[in-house]
Amino acid sequence: MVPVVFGAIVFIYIAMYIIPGDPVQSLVGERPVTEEFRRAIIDRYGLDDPLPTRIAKYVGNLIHFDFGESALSRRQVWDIIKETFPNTARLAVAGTFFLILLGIGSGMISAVRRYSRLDTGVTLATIVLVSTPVFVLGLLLQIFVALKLKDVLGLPITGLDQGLKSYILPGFTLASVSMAYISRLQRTTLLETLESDYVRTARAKGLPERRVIFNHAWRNALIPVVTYLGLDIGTVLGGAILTETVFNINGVGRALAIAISTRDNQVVLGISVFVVVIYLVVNLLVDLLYAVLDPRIRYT
Amino acid sequence: MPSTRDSGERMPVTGAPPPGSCLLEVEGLGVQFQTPSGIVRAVDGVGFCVYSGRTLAIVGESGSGKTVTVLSLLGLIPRPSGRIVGGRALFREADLLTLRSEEIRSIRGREIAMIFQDPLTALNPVQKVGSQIIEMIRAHERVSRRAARARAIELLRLVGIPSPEQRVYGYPHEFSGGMRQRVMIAMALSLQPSILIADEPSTALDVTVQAQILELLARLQDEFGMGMILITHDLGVVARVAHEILVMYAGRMVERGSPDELFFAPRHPYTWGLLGSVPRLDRRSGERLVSIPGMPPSLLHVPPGCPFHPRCGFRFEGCDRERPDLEWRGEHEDACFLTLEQKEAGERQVLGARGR
Repeated sequence: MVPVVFGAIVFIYIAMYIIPGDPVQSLVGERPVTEEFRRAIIDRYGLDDPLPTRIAKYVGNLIHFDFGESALSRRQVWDIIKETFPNTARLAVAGTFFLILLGIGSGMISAVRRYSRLDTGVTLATIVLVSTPVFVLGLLLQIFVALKLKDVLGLPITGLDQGLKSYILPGFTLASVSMAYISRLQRTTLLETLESDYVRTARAKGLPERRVIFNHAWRNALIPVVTYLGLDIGTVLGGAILTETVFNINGVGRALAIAISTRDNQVVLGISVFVVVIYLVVNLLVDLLYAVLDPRIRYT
Repeated sequence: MPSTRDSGERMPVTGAPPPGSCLLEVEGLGVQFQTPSGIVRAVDGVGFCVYSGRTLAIVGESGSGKTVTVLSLLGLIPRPSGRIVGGRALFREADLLTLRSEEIRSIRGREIAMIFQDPLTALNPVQKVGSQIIEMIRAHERVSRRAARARAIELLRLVGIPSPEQRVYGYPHEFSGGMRQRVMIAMALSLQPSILIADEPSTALDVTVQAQILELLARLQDEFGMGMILITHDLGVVARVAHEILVMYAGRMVERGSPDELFFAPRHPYTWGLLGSVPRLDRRSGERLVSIPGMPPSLLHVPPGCPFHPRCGFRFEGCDRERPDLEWRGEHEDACFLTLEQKEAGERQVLGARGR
């Protein structure tokens, strides 16, 4: 994991470095910059050090949990992360909930009831979800569910400050694209395991159909889905940027989007590195879950 | 569910099938599959009896309808493409083919158990073998998990798995192929079924392990007095363990008789071909095996008349028009229009050179 994090830092740092433009000028906007001010900024951030030195310094500070400070607000980047990440985490949990409930659920239904109207309906819904960009879906939900059905459902249009129900629309929006893929994947894998020899054995044993489907077919069909879920965390985190912006949620995604648009390099860098670490940790957890699901896998 | 079992009346291991004590009586069974290219007549007019303590072997090439026959008895043919189009299968005065799904479920495993061809894929890879046996016991009987586990351990011991107390917690991938097939057998026996269906139980295994598995099956059959249907394409297997042999071709029955009758006086040209293609240890080396010319027919277009006539070296006028049924033709049952003299001559011609 450590080399991956280091590689990611170097990559992001270089990416930030090669963006054209004068970092000092972008700090102050369109106003003219005095020579003393420029000198002070360059000294303060070590802007004229060679690139390897700057990266080494940055990594050295990271080890002490020093993510640097925002050039705009002068706040510690770590403080920004501490403030915004809990919101993103809660949003991600809500999204994962929808992902599992609706994605896996609908996939199972369309596999077990293959070629039924329900299956066709699920297929149509997944096509629509896959082809709708996250921000369009978010806006549509805001207009047609939150606004038009305001008196019926009472779902908030933006923010997360109204308890559980404020997570419904952003959670669904965040999960939408992955949900559709998970649904298709679950359908395919379940259809495959339903045809397998051990499912036939389970039926020949005289087990109730429900048990055949859940304990034998689905248990095995879940393994590839969990693999995909692990890989897909990146998409979900990327989706968080759009979802948080559309629903005006104070999360790391929105903070990152703002930092990028204002060229607040320390914040962009800090949040990116943090997200990389989160991604790796989640992947590790998925790998461990994988071993629980499939006893043939042993980590030594 | 009647609780009486026929295991009390032990049958002698050799001799003709006892008349009138059919455990399972199948008549005129027909199974079709709807496929994009047409209707596949997988099984057509198959009938047989399974007696307790005796083994019926169903022999034929791949695609001759052996497996579909037994799967349809347990309601396991894939739906909705597969369809039972005729016949009946009487078991304890109930027709298995018309039972509701809940009724057939209580018969599966409990009264009629099945062992499949490939033990590598027939066990659930993510469930402990013990759990797979336990869940079967508990699907049919109200027993505690602990009691079911004790029975699972006993069953594993019975089929010859060493240190079953530990192995009961093992996963299928920790067992060899032969051991997995033993687990399958233990599972199939867990409710002391009156009929055991073994679908090519030794085909996927090493030759040395094959013999062990067949011996195990024969011993357990003796012990429990089960009726057994053994599906195989291996005539060597059949010779050792079967009491009655049914030869199938293109979903139809072509010959039926005791092993002695089929091995020493086969009466159907297809059976001659099957026997002629078996290598024998007691013959000189360098001798050529006889093969059956041509390919088995596509079940989408079963030839009219006798389905074997396009490949038959003894066909005559009429073979391609009228279909011979399996019936008593002098010595035992076969489905061929040749006269007894012609058959004897034909058999000598195909097999006689082998000097049995």
